[in-house]
Amino acid sequence: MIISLRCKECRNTLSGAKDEYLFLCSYCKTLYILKEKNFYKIESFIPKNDSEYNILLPFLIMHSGIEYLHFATDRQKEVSIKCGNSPVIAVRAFSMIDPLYFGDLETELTLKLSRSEFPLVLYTPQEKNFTMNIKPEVLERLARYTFMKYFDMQGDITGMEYSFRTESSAILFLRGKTSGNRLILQDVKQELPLSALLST
Amino acid sequence: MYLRTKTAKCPECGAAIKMSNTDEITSCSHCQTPVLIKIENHLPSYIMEPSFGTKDTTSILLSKLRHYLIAGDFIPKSRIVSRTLYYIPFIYTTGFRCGEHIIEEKDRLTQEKTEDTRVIKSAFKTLIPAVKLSGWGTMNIGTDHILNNRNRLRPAGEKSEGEGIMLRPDISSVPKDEINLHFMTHNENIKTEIITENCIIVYYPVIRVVLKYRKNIYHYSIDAVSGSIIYGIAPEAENNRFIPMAAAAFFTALFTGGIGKFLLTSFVGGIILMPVYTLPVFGTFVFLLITFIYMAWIFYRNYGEIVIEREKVEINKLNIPETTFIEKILRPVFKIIEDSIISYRKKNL
Repeated sequence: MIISLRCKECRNTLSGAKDEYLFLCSYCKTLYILKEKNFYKIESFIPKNDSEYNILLPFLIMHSGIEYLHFATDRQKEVSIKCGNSPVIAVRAFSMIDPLYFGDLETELTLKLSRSEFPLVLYTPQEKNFTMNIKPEVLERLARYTFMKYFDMQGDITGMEYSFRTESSAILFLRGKTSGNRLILQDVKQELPLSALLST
Repeated sequence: MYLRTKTAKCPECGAAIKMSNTDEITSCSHCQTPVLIKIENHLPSYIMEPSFGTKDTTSILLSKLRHYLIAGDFIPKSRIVSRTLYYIPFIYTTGFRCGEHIIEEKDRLTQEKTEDTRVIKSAFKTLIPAVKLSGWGTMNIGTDHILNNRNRLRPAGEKSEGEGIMLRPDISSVPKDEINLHFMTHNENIKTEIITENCIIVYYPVIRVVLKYRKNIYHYSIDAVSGSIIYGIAPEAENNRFIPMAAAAFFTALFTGGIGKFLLTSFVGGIILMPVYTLPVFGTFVFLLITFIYMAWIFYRNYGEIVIEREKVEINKLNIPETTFIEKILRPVFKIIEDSIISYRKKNL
């Protein structure tokens, strides 16, 4: 497929690499996600944090909704509605050469976002200092299982039938800084080996 | 790289744009619009930088071989025929195995069956050779070798020409069937799907060294990153030939001694009967003597081989030819001796 790298707003050139799926207009700072054969405008957020950073790690966050629920007990219904009404699911959107380093950060991040443990602020990247190199379609499939696992973690939610749908999606940038061979993710207080990332 | 040129229409002006079989960012030659070309199922290629060149291979190989029980004159007498750097393509895949595990439980008191569903979401990584090379030891290169040296990975386009031979991968897309086979389970209650997150082609550097020793050719695959021998066969040490030679010498001495004594006494007993009585015995003596000398010579000339794979050493079978008529007759004898030698060596390894 062949896609024009012109911004739909200002007709300026979009910056990004050939293996990427997230592009930035360097003039009007609009962020685009490449899905199937088209560019779609996408909002970006960042946790409210005043500390300095030099690396941005993109996560795809999706607001989901439950279309149909069938519960076995009242307790299940109560818990499910509480955590399943408006969960925000986060899946990483950067490639890692060793996925085992990552652990359960996605589920933890989903929990933190759902509990509003750190507030998000609208963020406009000023330069292309991030890389998203996983197909958004793959991320959406991963989000489905992250959502199911998130439900599992709430406990006692079994034997439940539901239909999951994505209402909206956005990009969340987690800030990181390097310290030796480690990449410290400040917002979630976790560390990754820098070399675990395929590209930074 | 094998490039095929195709054309596509510019999304802005409709002019023809040349495109290769890889993802790229280019611009329309007519309206100068920058365009992104994405090829369906295209896998990005990375190349792993070798940590040493082909010139250093000889010293590294010989220093490694010294640690093994190889023939003493192998290192000084072997001659290097060729040293070539190859980049072997592998498909490195990371992803997730996602699905559900239905756990069936039975209540002890009521005997009621209940079902509990658990979500499975585990990450995986696999390395599958993208070319079939027998006798290269490609299966000895695992994901750890890629992960431990990941700082040496570079995009394949940055490689300059003339540094080695890049083998063309036979697989051009994600090997879904092979990955599925890897995670296949017979548990009917586990229903999972494989989500491929990242799939890249990694060209791993392997130096192929060909040595000539006596009249035989030996091939070695050297890991050009770590310097270890991935796969190779070497002639084993002479010490291992001692047992069959000693056995042959023992039987030779036994027969020559016994028959010699008999001949001596029969010679004294009567010269007249010698053509009738002694000559067949003498003939048997000569035949057995030649046979045992021949066996000893065969064991001296032909040596066993050891197979070196990474740090593991395995004994190959004795390299005894069966080309002549006598060797074919002696096959059962060789088999018995070979089995006893191999079992002896395995105890001493």
